[in-house]
Amino acid sequence: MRLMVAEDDSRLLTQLDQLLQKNGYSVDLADDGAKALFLLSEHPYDLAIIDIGLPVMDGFELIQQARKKSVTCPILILTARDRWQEKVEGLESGADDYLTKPFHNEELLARIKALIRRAAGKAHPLIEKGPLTLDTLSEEVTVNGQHIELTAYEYKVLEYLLLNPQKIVSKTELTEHIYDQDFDLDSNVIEVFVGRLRKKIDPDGSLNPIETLRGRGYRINREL
Amino acid sequence: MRSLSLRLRTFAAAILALIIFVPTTVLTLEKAFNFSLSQSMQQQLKVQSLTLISEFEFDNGLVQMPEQLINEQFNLPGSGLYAFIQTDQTIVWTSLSSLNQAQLPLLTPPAVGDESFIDDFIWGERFFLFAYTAEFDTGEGYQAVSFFILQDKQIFDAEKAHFASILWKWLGLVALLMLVLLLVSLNAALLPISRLNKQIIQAERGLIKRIEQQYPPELERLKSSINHLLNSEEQQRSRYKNSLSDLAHSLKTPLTVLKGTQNLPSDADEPIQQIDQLIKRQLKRAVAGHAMSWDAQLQIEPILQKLVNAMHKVYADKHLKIDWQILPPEQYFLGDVTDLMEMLGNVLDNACKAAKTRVLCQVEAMGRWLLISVADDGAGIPAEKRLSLLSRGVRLDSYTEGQGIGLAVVADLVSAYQGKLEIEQSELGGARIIMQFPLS
Repeated sequence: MRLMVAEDDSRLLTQLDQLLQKNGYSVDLADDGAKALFLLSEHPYDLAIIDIGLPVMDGFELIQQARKKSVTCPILILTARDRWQEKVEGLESGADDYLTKPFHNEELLARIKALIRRAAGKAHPLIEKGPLTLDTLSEEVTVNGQHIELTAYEYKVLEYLLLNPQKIVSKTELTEHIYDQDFDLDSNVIEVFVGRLRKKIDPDGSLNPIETLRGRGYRINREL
Repeated sequence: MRSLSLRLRTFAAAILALIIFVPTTVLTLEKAFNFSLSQSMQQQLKVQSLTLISEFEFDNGLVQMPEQLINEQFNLPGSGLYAFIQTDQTIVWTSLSSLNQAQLPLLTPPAVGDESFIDDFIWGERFFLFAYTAEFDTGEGYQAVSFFILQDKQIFDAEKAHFASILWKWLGLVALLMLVLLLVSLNAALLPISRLNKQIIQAERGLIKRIEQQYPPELERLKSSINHLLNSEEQQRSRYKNSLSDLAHSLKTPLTVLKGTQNLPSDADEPIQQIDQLIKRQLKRAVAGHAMSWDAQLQIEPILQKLVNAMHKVYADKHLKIDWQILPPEQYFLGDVTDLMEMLGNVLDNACKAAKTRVLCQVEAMGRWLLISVADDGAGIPAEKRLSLLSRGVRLDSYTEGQGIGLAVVADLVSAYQGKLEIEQSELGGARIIMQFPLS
């Protein structure tokens, strides 16, 4: 999952970057509102974390501008101003949830997961597709109740495909959602991850959990 | 001591002026009229005396007067106009009109060639008396002859009384007219003050933000001063709130960094939590209600609508049914929008956290109180915990995250508005938080 974090305090920004990367997210950082708006309009993020008190353009305006530019990803407001008037203003400007500073890292991670899930139309942390089950909270995958060991990148690919079950996801889209913006994009790496996923989930080739649509991308098998 | 109203002051001053002015005017005019009447009478009597002199003759030392005088008043008994001629201390002739009159006492005549006039001569009744002494040649020498003419004052007094009565009537009417005119002009003069007063009351109630109508130049300065005061009060309030908000921001961001720091000893977590709650509560207490000088009338429904929308977004996963009833629908809250949002937001947030499926917010005016209650179908708050949550003396760090700090802030705010906060068992099954605010 690819996230954008906009925060003007460099220490907190670094801390968030480390926390989120450690938890398997690709993170792009912005330390002012204008940079954040540029990133949001240029890249397809799965979630944006925006501090209200940003320089150049404050969080409220940033969210409004982003929504005007058809940025649809869920937005989590991070604010030290915890008055309800400001929370309501933030939510009205287009944010989906708020978190007041200071916060527990666990709470931030839980909110991020809940928002990404909600955006995918999944209210519960468990995503089930036939014999395949993915727990977005514990990041565990089982097939017919059997636990499967996945690497962080393999998990990210599977989670993204399961969160978008009706959609044909191109290699470029997968790459964008899995890696940071600075990463040198190489679509062959995605092919390798998908190949490994198929072997781990479906070693005897009976399920065919991930379909390949030649020249277009991948999709979770709708008949699962 | 209570100061008298401008209307009463002006009216009292006008009444006082009239009380002094009307009698003084009447007395002055009466005096002038009497003097003029008296002067005119003197002239008339002088003419009468000259007529008598022209009719007077000495014949062999005896006084000769015609039987009928030219002025009929002298010939008619009791006519009120009487004439006497006196020589050498003896009344030698009286007019026919004095036939039934008492004997005239001997009077001291004026010197020869002189005249005298007495405007209040008593001879049974009150009379004007005119006397003149002339010298006549008797053939044997000159003889001083005095002519006395008396005019009854009854007619004069009646005329004077008539004049006084007309004068009092007309001046009374004029005074009444002046009072009416004064009241009308006073009303016209005080109208802008009354309009200004109404606008100030409207501003107090929050119905208008500025005083905008046009006023006479004398009040324009006051109007601009009030507007200036309102502006600076609003700016100051906003600056104050923003400064506190900035302070919260600058304290909380490093606190977040501290909290997120790796390898932080686990016993550091509690003090950090306490610092956070102290900042939260004390800064909110600092802005609550205090900076407010004039209450604003806030429509509750739009604010509630915004908060419910926010709750639906934040608690989207719970699929809560959040309803509200406002009776009457246009019911207002007297106070600051930030404070109302804070109170309602915290209580609704707690209810949404606790609720399983339903939250119900009810707003109603009961007598002089505005009741805002929020009920949920959650687990409720045990009776023994309710009191400790509501008592304002409870140590801050005894509040638990979620239910506690939110309600503590609400309790502070409700108290700043001289309101009451209660917790009950809700009909929905969970807790029902009731906030009561005085309506006036």
